[in-house]
Amino acid sequence: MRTPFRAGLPLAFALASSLASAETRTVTLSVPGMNCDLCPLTIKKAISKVPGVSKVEASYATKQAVVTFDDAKTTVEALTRATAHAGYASTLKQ
Amino acid sequence: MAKEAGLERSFRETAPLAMDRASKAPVSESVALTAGGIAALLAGACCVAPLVLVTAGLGGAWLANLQLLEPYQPVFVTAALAALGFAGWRIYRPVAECKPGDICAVPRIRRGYKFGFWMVGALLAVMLGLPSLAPLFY
Repeated sequence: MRTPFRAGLPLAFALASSLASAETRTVTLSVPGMNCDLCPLTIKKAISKVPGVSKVEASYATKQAVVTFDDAKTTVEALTRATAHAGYASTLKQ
Repeated sequence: MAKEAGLERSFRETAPLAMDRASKAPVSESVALTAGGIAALLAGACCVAPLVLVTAGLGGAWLANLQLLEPYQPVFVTAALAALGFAGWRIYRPVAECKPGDICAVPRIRRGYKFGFWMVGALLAVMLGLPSLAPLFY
């Protein structure tokens, strides 16, 4: 009879964490086309123009962009579209 | 380079009188400056251009095409330097080498070409120098 209660605890945790991430979310985008010193600046500029994005860090060394954004205002698709429109295709890194 | 030669040839055919009077000097100088400017723009197409366009809000999926020029950057840089070097040699050679009455001997025109030379030089310097300054803005 204790099984449902045990199962409920991780569920509550999962629910709480998903509620918390509904506000701000941080994702890592892989940008394989980053091929120059200026590229991170271009990508940073492109992503930061997306409404709801609060923080962007792009690195030439890792060819990645770490983006913090408001989940309610924008989506990962909008972010990858923004980099594509700067000439750099990107994918969400899990 | 073949295109430049073609341009000069067609000009010579269509304007023989002007060519005779002015010698070939002003044509080859403006051709060299134009070629140098275009090569400088192409040299920066992969890297500087997207940043400028995105900052200006002129982004688009077509910008990905500019990336295709990236492998040819050394070619464009070499072409730009060669064209600029040739133009500089033509523009800054002593006036004595221009025959009196040549366009290259007219002070106003000489000043115009010098201005053009430094504009193209500045463009090339920005295209080549900006990437090295990029880490300062990370």
